[in-house]
Amino acid sequence: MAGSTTEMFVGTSWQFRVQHQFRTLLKFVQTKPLAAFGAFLVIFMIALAVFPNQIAPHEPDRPNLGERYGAPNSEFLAGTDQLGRDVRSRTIHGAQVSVRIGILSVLIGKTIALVVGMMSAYFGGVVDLLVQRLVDVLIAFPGLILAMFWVTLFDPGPWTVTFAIAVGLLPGSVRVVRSQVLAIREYTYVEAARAIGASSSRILLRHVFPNVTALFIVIFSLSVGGAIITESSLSFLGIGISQDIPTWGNMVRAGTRNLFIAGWWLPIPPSVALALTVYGFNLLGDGLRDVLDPRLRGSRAGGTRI
Amino acid sequence: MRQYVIRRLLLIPVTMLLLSVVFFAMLRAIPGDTALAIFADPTEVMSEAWLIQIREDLGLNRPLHVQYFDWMSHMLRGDLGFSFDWARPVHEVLAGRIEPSFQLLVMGVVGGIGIGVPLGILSAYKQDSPLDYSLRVTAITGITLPSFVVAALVLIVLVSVWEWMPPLEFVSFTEDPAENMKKMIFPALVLITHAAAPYMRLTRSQMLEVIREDYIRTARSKGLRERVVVFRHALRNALLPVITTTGLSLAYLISGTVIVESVFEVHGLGFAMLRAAQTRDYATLQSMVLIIGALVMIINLLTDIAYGWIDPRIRYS
Repeated sequence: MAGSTTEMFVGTSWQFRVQHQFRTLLKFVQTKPLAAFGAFLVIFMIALAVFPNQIAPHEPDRPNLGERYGAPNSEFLAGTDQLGRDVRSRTIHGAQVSVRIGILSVLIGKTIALVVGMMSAYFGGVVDLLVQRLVDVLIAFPGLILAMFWVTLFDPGPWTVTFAIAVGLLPGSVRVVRSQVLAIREYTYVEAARAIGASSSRILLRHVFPNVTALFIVIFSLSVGGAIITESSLSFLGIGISQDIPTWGNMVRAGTRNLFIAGWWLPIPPSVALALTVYGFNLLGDGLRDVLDPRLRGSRAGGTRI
Repeated sequence: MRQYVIRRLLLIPVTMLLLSVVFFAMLRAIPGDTALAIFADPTEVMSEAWLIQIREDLGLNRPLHVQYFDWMSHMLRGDLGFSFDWARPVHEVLAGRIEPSFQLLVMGVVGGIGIGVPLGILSAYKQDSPLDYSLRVTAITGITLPSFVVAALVLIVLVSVWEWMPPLEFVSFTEDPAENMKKMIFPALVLITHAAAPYMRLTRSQMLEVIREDYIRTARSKGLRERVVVFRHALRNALLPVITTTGLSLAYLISGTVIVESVFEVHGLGFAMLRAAQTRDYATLQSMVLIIGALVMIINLLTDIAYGWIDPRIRYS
């Protein structure tokens, strides 16, 4: 009966692993309830962003002129907008743009910042001097102003907005990463690696990079909320994502413009969705920071806020 | 100290120069033709002769370094260029708009400190009480909500509850303070809620840290009154980081001003900047970016100096 023993063994090991992971998860929820709540919000919003068609009860773009400015009712839980479109479905679809641009821009901006910060600190000298002066220049700017300037230079579209936000995210983290790498560079294991003749790229990749990954994850999760705020602010100002696409910023913009006609509740569903998303990412980021890098406690670690 | 200030002052023009080069390069890096980009109007077909004329007028047909030095020398002489959108020199466009924006910024910072700091002290003093919790939740909400959402909520309340809109005309504070406040109080309120929340959190955490220090225990054991201990001994030390944050919070308030001015139609610098961004009025846009850059740098320098002046323990070298 060798087969069944193996089966039994695999079975228990698998069960054991699930149980173990479940217990770890439970412990995380117990010790960091706020971070767990943040993670729940983030997962919920990502689910909305990935499966909007399955979750939304109506088509987001189908106008229904007979139902303009409809008050919230049993069919349209959040009412209908100026063209009679379902506000709930539009809010669900809005998650797609905001979450995607938020995560992508932070990923792009912070990855560049990580590489630049590592190089600047490790090589020092002229490179460091130039990079630091550039950071001095860019750090003076509120992210939104920089993004406004950048957005107008290129053809309007989601990629332009993504890169405009990414540029604004660069300077703060370059500085944080740089100071971390300056400390790591002096450690004995880096000296040892250099002594046995490891190349610069090998030291950077194998010895320095693993030591800044925790910092990177923390910076990443703390910055997504700010990036989403910048994206929706640009849409709200009418210079971000095209007005035909349902985004939270666009919906609040349309809602406030028609305030005097009817439907004062129109800006509220997208505002709530936006606030919950930002709140979720910030809570999760704070929790991750406490777990991964307690030294950063109290600092925003390059996170932006508008 | 004096040497430090001089060195920082000398660094400002260097940084400004770098800033101007970066932004000039960015403007010239626009994909495609600058002349086309400026007058991009899909409904109108531009004739080739027109485009050549525009390039001639803007000096776009000269070599890049000539263009840059020409632009720089004009900027240094205070000539910010010509705005096509308003058909007026840029400095004329900006001049009349400084007052409302400046007023909003001042109200935002003063109101933010005036509300945030006392609430922070209260929250720290009543640590872990229901009051403390509700203040902290309010502060986190204030940080999380983007300023355009707060502005939209204020508008909703004004329009649907009181059926009232702030007047559209801006009246100078020196002319008619009441009328001026009627227009400015609500946009300022949005900025204040935004500025107050971080001040409150910072004051709270600093107070909690300072209150555990030895000199506070000494002050208490000397038999000083609680009020003297809190205000004389604790607050003075807790407020130091609050001062450095003022520089940072001003930078954030500048972007808040753009949003608030667009929602409440205050015709200030932020409104001009948004319009310049929408119409691709590059002369106005780049002047504003440079002005904001210089402003933020000067504010940062001032806060650094103030920090060393208030806290004698800090010595710059």
